Amino acid sequence: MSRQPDEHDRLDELLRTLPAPEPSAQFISAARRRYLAAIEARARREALTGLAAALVGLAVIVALMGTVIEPVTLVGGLADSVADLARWTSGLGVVLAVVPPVAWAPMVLGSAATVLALALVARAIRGAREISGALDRTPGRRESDMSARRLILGLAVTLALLPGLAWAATPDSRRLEGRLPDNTPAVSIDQTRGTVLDALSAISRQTGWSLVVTAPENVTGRTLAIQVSKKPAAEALELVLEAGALRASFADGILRVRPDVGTAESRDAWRERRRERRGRHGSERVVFGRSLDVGAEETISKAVAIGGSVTVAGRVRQDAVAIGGSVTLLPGARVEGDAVAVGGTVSVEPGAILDGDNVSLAGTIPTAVASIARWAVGGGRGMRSMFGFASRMTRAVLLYVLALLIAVAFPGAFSRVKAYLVERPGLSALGGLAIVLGFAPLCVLLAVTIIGIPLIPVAALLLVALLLFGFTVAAGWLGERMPWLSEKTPVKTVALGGVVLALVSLLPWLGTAALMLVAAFAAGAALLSRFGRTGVVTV
Amino acid sequence: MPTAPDRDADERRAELDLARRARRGDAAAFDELVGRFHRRVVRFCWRLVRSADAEDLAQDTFVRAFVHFERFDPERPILPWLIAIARRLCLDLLRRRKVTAGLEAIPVSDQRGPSPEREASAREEISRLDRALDELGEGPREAIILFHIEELSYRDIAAALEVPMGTVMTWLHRGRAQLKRALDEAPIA
Repeated sequence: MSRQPDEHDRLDELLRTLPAPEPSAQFISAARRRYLAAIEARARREALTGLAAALVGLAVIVALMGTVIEPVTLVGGLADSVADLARWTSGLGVVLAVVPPVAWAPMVLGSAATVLALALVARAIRGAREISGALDRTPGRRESDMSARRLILGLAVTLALLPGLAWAATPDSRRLEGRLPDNTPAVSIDQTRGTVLDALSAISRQTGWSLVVTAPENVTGRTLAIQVSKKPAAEALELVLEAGALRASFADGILRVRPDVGTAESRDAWRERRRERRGRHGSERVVFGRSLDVGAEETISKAVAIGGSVTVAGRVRQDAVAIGGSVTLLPGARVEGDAVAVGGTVSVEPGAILDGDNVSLAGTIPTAVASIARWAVGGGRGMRSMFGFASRMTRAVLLYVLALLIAVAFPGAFSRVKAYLVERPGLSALGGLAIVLGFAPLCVLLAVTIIGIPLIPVAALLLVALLLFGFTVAAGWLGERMPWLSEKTPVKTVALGGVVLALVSLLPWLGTAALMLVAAFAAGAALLSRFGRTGVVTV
Repeated sequence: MPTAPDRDADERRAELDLARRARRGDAAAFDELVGRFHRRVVRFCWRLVRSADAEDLAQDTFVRAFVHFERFDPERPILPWLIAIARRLCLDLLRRRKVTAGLEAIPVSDQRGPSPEREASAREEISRLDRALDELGEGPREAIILFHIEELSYRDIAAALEVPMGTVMTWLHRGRAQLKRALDEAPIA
């Protein structure tokens, strides 16, 4: 009976007598040298990669914003949206109707990129501090201090230039483009009754320039009283252009004047129109999961269908909005605001009147929102245009850039979540399914409670963050299993695995499904490990 | 008077504090941590690669561990984590260079028997065991080394080898059986 323990003991004893070399006397000092070199290299790397990633993030933000909204308009729109938040009293439909749907995609992705860029800038600064700290603690390495200081200085200068870069990305605040000749004479204008065009003509006459005006007559014909005496032509011209809300360019002796799109005036008019529309309160009708019909005799203030279509035969004083459906204006119908269809079409039949804009959105994100809305509230059709190749390509590139930023910004959390995923794949998968399937019911619950409505965007952002993090972790997991990497850092593994996932995501149907699946599974690991704070086994 | 678990917890907290300081660039903290663990890490590396590269790999292990300490799970002890990193580095090296063990270079201590016959017998037995250990599969060999030589718990071995605890037990069982068979092939006098 006691044979087994005896054998174990004997084996144990023998194994412990197996010879093994002792570390050399220089082991600790050699390890220390390598450690100090690695600390310095890490700090340099963090500072530089952080800065590079921050610049990439800012470039992404500028590109995203620039393609959709002019920066000047964006600021106005954001201010309006902040004011709109205070008016959230009519539920999810109103929220969706108030915030322009075309702004959702750049807002979400831009916000993510901004947060990451800021985190990376902070990390870059900390990294630079660590360099000097590590060197200060290293005897005999004072000569390297200068390089650290130079790096910190360079970093500070670059960071100081960032606002300049951002400024450079925005439209020039000066209204005159191009350089005026040095010999341009001073001009004098004494005009108590006249127009903008008269003032421009006076300037061009005195300077000898040719004048080409392409602005509409109602702009150039505005009344303008101006008195300037022997002022530089550029200054006088700026005054006139500003008064007329115009822009100009000068080249080869020709002054070309054009209207300024997106001026403060047009923004004010737009806001005024919105305020006016909102001011007239009335009955608002918001339905979920079914279509909404406004009868010929009815007059309502707003018609919103989430997961259904809107058909108007009567009168809608403000907007008619369908998320996941179409808006149809039958003969005799009148919509005084905009008709907006996300993931559907707007059709205005003969005899119907649409005072506002006809907006139908069918890009990737709007259609996805529409499909989710339909699916969440009981609809089953849809999921069409979001699978177009261009949409898939855009999505793949954006996801790839964001995944790299996440890997740079959160290498620790990334590694721990990945370890959690490897250790508990089943639980992570269940968590992922719970996230995806539970999101819509959660939103409905929040909407029902009214007080929870402001939390819906927070929940949506959390879902986006989880899925983006999940995508990053899945890419890292995949990249780690590829044989080509000698050093498997988070960034390198995500860069490699991300390419594979991005390529897979380009496949019609299957790609999107696979992407959602892996992102959701890894998102489950991220949620259950609280973004890696309760890791299992990590290296 | 503090109990053994209390002492363990205190020690773990102290190690964690040292590791955090090392992560921030404190060379003294790094030295202390290396002093605590270097023998075991070098021994483990040597058992896997059986060459002078073991020391280099062990140094690399410490550097990687404490420079990238943010990836460490603070709820776990440090040694299994170090072993896990060392193991990866060793396996990478073995794959890259196809290093094979040179058993003839192993020095055998003469502490087991006073008489020449017994000494020869012990030498033979240890040599056989060493060869058998080297011939084990990767998993069983590492589990045997960590359990019997480094005296790690099942849980810590599972953490170091990144496998479930059940797998560790299976590997240990299989490894022991193979080693016993190897020893029983020629009974010891």
